Amino acid sequence: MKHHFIDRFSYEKGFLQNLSPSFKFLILIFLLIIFLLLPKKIIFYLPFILIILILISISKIPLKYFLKRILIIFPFLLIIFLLSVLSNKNFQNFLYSLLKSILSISYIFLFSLTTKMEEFFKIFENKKYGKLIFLIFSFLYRYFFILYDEFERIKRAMISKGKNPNFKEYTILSGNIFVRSYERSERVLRAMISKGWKIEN
Amino acid sequence: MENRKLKIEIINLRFSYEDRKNVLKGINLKIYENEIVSIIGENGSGKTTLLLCIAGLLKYEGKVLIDGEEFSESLRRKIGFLFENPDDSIFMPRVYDDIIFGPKNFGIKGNYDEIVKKSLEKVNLEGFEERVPHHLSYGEKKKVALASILSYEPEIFLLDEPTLALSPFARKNFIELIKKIKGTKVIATHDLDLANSISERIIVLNDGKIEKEIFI
Repeated sequence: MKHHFIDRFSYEKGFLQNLSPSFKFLILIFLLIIFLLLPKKIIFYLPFILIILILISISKIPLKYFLKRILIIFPFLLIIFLLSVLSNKNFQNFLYSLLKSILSISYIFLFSLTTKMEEFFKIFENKKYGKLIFLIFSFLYRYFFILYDEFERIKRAMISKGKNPNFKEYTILSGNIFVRSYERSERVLRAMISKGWKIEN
Repeated sequence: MENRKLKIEIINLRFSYEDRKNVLKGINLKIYENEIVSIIGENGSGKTTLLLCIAGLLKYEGKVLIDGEEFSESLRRKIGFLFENPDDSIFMPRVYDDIIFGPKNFGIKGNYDEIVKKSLEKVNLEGFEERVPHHLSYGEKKKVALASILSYEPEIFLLDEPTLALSPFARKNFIELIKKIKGTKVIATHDLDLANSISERIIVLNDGKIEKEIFI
C-alpha cells in the first residue's frame, strides 16, 4: 500500500539530509522559541520565510509538494484563529499568531521530511528518561502505517460491497480500528515479553 | 526417541479464554531435544494457544516443564517464538533495533553489531540493518522476525504458521531456513506439505485434545 511517509525525502541527498538529526533538532527547538518571541513587525518574519525557501530548494524538496502539505493544516488553524479573533477582536494579533504558527509548522514539517525517523528516535534512546520516549515514538511511527493500511483495507471492503463511506461508516470504521488496535497491542505485548521485555523496563 | 533428552513435558494442560471456554482440554505431550514436531488441526483447534502456553505467555492449568523445570522468567531465553503475523513481532523503527531487542533484554553481552550481522546472515538478509520494517515485503518481514529470535540463540523454537501467506518461492526459501536452525522445533501449521517434509512427528489437535500422533 502507498504511504505518504512523514520522512519522505529523508533518503534524498540534500543539504538538510546530511546534517545530524540531533543538531537539526536543537536548531529546530531554538527556532521555535525565537518564533514565539518575534515582535509584531513583518520585517522580522521575512528572513525566516526566505531561509525556509532556500532550505527547501537545497534539500531537494519540491516546493509544490511542500506547500500542498502545509495547506492541509490551514482549516484547523483558521478555525482556532477565527475563534480567537471573535473573542479578542484584534485582527493584528490574529495575523501575527497565524504567521508564527505557519512558520513553526513549516520548519517542523521540513525537519520531519528530511530526517529519517529511526535516526531521530535514536537521539532519545540513550538519554535518561529517553528510553520510554524512544519506545513510545517508535511504536507510534511503526504502527501508524499498519493502522493506516488496515483503515484503507476496511474502507476498500466497504466500497467493494457498494457503500461509499460517509460520516456514519467512518464512525464504524474508527471503532473497528480501535478494537483491532487493542487486539494488536495484546499480541505485540506478548511478542515483547517473549523477547525478555519486562513491564518495569 | 526415548534415549533423547526430554525438552518439553506438558501434563494435563487446560486453558480457557474469557470468551471461549475449554480451548485446551487436558493436553499431555512430551517433546524431545532437537525434535521437530508439527501441530496440525482445524482453525480454533487450539494450536496457537498451545504454543502460547508452552512459551509461558498465557496462564494455564496443568504443567509445562522445560528441561524438567516449571516455567519461570529465567527460562524465557530458552524459547524463541515466531508469531503468525510478523508485524506483531517486529515493532521497532529499524531492523537493527528489532534484532537486538531480545539480546538487550536478556542481558546478553557482546558486540551487538556483530550479533545483528550474524543473525541477518542466517536468514539471508545481509545489509538490512538500517532498513525500516514498513519498507519490507511480507517475506522479508518474516525473515526479520526469525532473525530477531535467532539473535539470542534460544534452544526451543515455537513457530506459529511460519509459511502462511508466503509466495511459493518465499515459502520454499523459508522452509530451508527453518531446516537449518538448530534446536527443538514445534510448528503450528495448516501447511500439510511443510509438516510432512520437515517433521519427525505430527500431532493432530481437534477441539482442544490430541486426536492423533503420527510418526514420520
